Amino acid sequence: MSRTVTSVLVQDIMPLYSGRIANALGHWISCHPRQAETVQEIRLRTGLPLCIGLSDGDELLHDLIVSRADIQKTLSLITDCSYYALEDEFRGGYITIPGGHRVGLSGQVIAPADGEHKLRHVSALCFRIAREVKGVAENTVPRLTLPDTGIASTLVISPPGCGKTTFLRDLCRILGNGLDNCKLPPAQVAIVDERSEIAACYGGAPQLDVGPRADVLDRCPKAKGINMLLRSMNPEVIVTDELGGEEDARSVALALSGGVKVIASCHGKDLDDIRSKPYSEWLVSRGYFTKAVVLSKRNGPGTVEYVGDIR
Amino acid sequence: MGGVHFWTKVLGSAFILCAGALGGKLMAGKLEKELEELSRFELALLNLSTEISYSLSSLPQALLNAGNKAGGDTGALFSLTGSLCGLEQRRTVEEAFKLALEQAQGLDLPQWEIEIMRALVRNLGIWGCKEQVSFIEIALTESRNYRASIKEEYLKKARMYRSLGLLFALGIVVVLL
Repeated sequence: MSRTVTSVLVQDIMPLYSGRIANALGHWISCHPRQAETVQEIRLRTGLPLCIGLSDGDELLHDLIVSRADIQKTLSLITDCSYYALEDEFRGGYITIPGGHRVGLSGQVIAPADGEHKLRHVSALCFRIAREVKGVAENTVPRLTLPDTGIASTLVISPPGCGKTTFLRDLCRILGNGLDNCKLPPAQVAIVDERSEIAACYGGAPQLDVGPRADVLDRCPKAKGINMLLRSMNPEVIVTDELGGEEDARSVALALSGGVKVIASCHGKDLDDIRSKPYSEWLVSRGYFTKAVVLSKRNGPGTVEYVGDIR
Repeated sequence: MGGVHFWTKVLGSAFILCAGALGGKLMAGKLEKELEELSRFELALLNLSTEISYSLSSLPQALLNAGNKAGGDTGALFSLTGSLCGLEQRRTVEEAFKLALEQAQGLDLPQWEIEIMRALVRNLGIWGCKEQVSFIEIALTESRNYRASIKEEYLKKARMYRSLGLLFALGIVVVLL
């Protein structure tokens, strides 16, 4: 059962804020219960009003100016008082917190000529609320299975913001559980989650439901992760997000030729768009992927435009 | 009758001598304990530095581990601070330290150690690994310097308290006899 956004805000997010911000946010939620269900992000910027991002715009709480101390208190809590242990994550510009929510960071970047850059003096935080939409892939799965061999290697194609990752996450959950209505048995699923978006791991453990048979390599580069999983975890299906360069394509090809199914997402409007990109075209034309799902946001994010064979 | 009177005096004198020696020992023990706690503090800081730089343990866990290894009242303060801070407890390390000091009224800690720790917690958990270790080293150096400066004096005083306790008791015995 998915939690309401209000309960997520109250249980996961508000305790991470200083008292006055938590109180103001709690007051806003009690005054705007319907809008609270559409909250997508909360932004804290030093010296500026608290900004609540909604599905149809945003709202600034002008009475509440966020101070540096507010940011520091929140930063201290989201890092578990251990900034030193999260330096790499800070370099990436975001961290994941319990519940799978992602906190984007900005501030002063120190980039020495002879070393790695560091993010210091964080002045703004953007809390993006993680949402699970279970069941979005359920009607699609029967059309992605092949007789005898089960799920087919599939490309999930869509422009940004159309629900590719949500679709992949639900697919992982379904594959791990199996699906009775198309006689799909449960499978060992391995996820290479380079951007921590599919499983939203915190401390290496998935915070979102990716099914009971999922192994997750969190924040691991795709090509390296696929090779590691092939050697170590004996997966039946590998799921990964946003295939890009040559190295990714070669790793996917290696996995597919080893008998492992791969389900991956790819930026693009449709199949023709995918064919215009060199590495995805290479995978499609050689028959590595046999099925495709095309998503759009024509009727809201996750609208399925096409499910079927790659012809 | 005379025999009983004699033995009462002997027992009384022995009791006074024991009490004097014990009093002196207690006074000396307090100074020695302060030195011992400072040593434990340095050990806890070294362990904390190792936990941070090599294991990259979260600060609550690092404080707990460092406290457990150091032991004594200092170790208890480290462990208590660790158990009160972090994401689960919704407290920064500075807030946790203040609360730990309130909760740990029974702990006997040198004031100097508390001051060093108070300055350190302001910079714990908010810096990168290198900087974090540097802050701990500064605290460690301060503690070492302070301990070196008081060690000789404290040990001298401890010896003096022991002797004084016994001598004082002896004086009372002589006067009473």
